Amino acid sequence: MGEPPRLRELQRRLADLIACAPPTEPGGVRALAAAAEGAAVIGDETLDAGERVAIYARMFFARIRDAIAEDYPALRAALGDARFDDLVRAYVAAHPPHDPSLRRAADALADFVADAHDLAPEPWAVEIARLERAMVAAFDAPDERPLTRPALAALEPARWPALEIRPARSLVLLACRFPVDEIRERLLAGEALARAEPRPVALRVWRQDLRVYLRRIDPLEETVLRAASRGATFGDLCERIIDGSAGAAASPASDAHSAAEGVLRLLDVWLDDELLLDTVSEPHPGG
Amino acid sequence: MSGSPRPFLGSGIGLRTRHFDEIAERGARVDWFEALSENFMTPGGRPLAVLERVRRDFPIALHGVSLSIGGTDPLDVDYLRRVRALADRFDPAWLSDHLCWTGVDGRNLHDLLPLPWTEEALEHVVGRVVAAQERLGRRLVLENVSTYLAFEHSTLSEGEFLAAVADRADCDILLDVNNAYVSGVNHGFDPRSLIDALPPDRVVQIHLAGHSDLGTHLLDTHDHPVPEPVWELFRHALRRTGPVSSLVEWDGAIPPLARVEEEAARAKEVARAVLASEAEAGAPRQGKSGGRAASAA
Repeated sequence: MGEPPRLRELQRRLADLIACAPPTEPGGVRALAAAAEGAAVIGDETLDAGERVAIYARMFFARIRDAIAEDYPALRAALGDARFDDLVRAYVAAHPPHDPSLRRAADALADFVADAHDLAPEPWAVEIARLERAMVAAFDAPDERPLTRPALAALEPARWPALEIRPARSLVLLACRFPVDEIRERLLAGEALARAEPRPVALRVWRQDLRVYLRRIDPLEETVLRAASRGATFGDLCERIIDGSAGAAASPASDAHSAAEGVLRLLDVWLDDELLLDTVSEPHPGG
Repeated sequence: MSGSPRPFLGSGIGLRTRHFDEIAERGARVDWFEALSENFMTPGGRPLAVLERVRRDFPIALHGVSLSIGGTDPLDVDYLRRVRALADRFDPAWLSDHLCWTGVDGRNLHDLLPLPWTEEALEHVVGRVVAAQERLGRRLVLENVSTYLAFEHSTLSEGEFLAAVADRADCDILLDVNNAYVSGVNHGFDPRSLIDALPPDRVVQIHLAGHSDLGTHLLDTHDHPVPEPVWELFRHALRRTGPVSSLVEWDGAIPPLARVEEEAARAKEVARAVLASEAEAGAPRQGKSGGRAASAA
């Protein structure tokens, strides 16, 4: 062996060896052994240098694969273990992890699946990935104070039109071509899903009482929630219903009174689900 | 860096997601918990709520895996800021991480990778520990890791290297006796020599865990009970250090909380027996040297 590499060069050489796919054939291990010696790794009669590096390479892949599988169980079920491993291997090669948290390793997975038709040809696969990504995001979303009925009851009637309706940051809205909520349930129940018919659905994912929930919503609720997510008052949302901009499937309300009733019905559900931020009460001392 | 003596926390276990519900329902029969820092670096959600709940009833220590104190990329100041924010919020007894590197050129390999035990690496690590401690406002506790490869140009033993880092950077040591055993078997050295090389007064915590025997090597899997050779190393370490907080790690095939509690109870009983025996013998501990007092002066 020649002069040993300096620390940074040693780490670069070793990182390249570890991040490559672990060799499964004797020839691959022999090649790895030669490269490992370039990183000043020593072997012995039990394990040569290449086999020792291969231990780390196998663990690198297994650790990331297991972390992604934990957050994407339906995607894994859809593809099966072997194809899921192929997908993760290709994904990690294209998107090496950078964040200290292993849970962030799959941040770009859904977008990767969208372009990886050869690895995940099922037409619903990308929507399953996006749904499971939304569930991870909701799980980790900031803690916020939800709007409550007592807080609303204390609001003077004159202030209602300007009442800011702001969804919790855990809320994710998904417009899907396939009924992925049903597909996900079937996959997690162990059903082998050869095909599924397209049927557009809208879903909302959110966190309540520290748990993540998923619910299918109608076009009116989807449109109003999307408007609220962009920033809207109670008055804005009523006007949206009156002028029919709540979507073709939603019947335009004929007057302000029935529009307000429509928004109030949604508000009732959202309060049960703690879906809105408290924009009414005084902030707590200290933020 | 100045620092008050570390508290003795007794016998604890690692806080794991699988046990969240049970701990919330009935508490736990342990003295303290160790929480993995990265699992709580979220803006909100259930893990933080559980840690708040645990912290009301128990002392905790925060244990990181991503500091990369041996790495050659610049120290991740955003990561250090997040660790410090966690520490400010939860007031842990100490902050620990590993004597290793985890990636290079921005790529995180999510593993605890071995360093060459050289003067070059020693100087590099000491400088980073000093800088990290300044950012964190606290003394760090560094743990020996399990390793599967070694470097031809190492000139120090792992124990000598860790002892020198602790002395020069004024940091403390988390002695993982399972890691010492795994590395000893994998590289053919006596793990007691690693323990014996460490300054006893710097050892503030001992990790206990199980591993897997793959025939050609041991793998640090944390998915088995603590095996007898590791208990024996625990006894050996305690004879040198005296009372030190111990912690059982169980990360794979995690059993019900009661089983992990049993392992922590055994650690407590083993420590009691060793320390009683040492007290009866009346001899000063083999390795006590007053090193902390000297280095803190």
